[in-house]
Amino acid sequence: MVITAKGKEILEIAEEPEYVMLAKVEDLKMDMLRIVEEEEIKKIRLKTSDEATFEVEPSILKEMKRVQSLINTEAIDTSVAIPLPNITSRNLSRIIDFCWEHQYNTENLEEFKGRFLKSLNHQELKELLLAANYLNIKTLFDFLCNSFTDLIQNESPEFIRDFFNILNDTNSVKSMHAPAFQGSIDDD
Amino acid sequence: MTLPNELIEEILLRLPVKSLLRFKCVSKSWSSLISDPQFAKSHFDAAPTQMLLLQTSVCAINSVIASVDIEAPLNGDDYVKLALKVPFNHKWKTLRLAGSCRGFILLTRTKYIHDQFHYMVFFMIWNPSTGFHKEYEAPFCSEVICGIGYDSSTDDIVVVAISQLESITKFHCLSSRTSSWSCIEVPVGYQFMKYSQQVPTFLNGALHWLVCSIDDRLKIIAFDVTTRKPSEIAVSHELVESQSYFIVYTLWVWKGYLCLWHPGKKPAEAEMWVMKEYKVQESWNKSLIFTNIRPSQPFDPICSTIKGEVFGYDYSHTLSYVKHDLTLVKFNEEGGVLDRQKQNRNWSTYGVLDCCMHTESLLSLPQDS
Repeated sequence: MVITAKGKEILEIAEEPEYVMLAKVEDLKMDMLRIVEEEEIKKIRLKTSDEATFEVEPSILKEMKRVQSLINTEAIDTSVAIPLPNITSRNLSRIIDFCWEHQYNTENLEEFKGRFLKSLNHQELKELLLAANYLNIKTLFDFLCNSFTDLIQNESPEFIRDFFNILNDTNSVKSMHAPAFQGSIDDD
Repeated sequence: MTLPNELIEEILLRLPVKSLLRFKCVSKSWSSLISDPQFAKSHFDAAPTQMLLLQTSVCAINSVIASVDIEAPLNGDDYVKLALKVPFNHKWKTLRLAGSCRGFILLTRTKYIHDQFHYMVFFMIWNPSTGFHKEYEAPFCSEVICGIGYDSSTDDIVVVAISQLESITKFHCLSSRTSSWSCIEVPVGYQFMKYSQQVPTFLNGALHWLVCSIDDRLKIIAFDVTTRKPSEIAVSHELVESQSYFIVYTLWVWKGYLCLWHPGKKPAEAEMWVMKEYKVQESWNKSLIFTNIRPSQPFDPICSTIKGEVFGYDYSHTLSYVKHDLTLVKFNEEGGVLDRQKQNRNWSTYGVLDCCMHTESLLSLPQDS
């Protein structure tokens, strides 16, 4: 976008004397360099628990509210990779994938989400939910919560205990069902 | 691997009521969480899924309210989700579905006292998900027009019942929090559009009824449930001018806007008017003309789907006046028929059709102890 805008500027100044034009072209080069540099600076490096470093674009970073607030408070040096001790490289690359698709793939997003979900087992799904919660990525967090909902809503209490590692501390052996109304009201 | 409780709660907030009730026995902590009134509130705010309730029987024997998933295709098998068994004793002869709000269904019954020549009116507030129900006797004796709404300022479920005496209209309000009635009266008489729609639409904190004023003008009455005050909303000039006794008007809500529906001038047509800005007469807009209405089967809209499709029913009268054919119909936003599904259930064959939108909830009735 910047280039086309500047390119148009070159056409407009073509009528001017040659030396003026050359000076403007020099200015333009400097402008472009600065822009490229700024982009470079904005790219932030993130370091995962298994010591892998990711360079992340600002547009993706924007989704990670936790990292964003770290940068904004300027409490950390952005020239050094920000450590994310709770997140594995595998999960971070999944997260970056998701954020990227969510931002740029507007046409086949549902299809992507389907594929994304299929590639995950229950364990990985839980890990990813923890990671999304830690990084505070709303879109991914909502998507995963809703996926969990779809996964469990028709299951039995036994399945749920198994799924979430919950100890059965209730005395009832049989599973209860929704309390359908059974009583009647005496009238007159 | 175990997820922390906050995350499990986030997942539970998005589950349907039916699943949550089943999961109460997962563990003691799940049971206490799901039973917690604060959780019930958050759950209602987080994931409201709406369904349509239909009830055609005026007779309480085997009275069942059907619930329909309006988002599901009508040609599938699963659009009738469940039938709610009404908690009435079969001795109760007449029964009407009069509205629903935050998971609470309002049912009414009237009883004629022969030796005293008047009606007794009873209201029941019922949450079919939790089984909770409570009955109230009305402080007046007449046939009644009523609705149920929510006063957010005091977190109160309010029943509004209208009684009329010549040129006085009385609005009786039952606060479920205090179990007490109050009454506001206005020195104006209205003729309520009884046949088109009984159940008022709840929007912007007010219940809305379509009425004709004394000078025969079509109007909407909005009763604000929080301030407990009625006000009038004008319909568009064009509608008032073309108004006719022979036209059945229907008031409903389309995508969050007040909407008026009436048959058009040609036999198979219907017009849809939308009030784009609430209470601004100039903002009424004729948004659609439907051309697929079956002439012999007047269509009545009930609600809109998330996409803006129009959901309603054809109600054709066969020669015998007690036998009706009920056909559920879904139109797309351009007015084309998406689905038509004739109902063969016994709840569709007799009497008047009452219908309203209902959101399942775990809420218990706010009550001052």
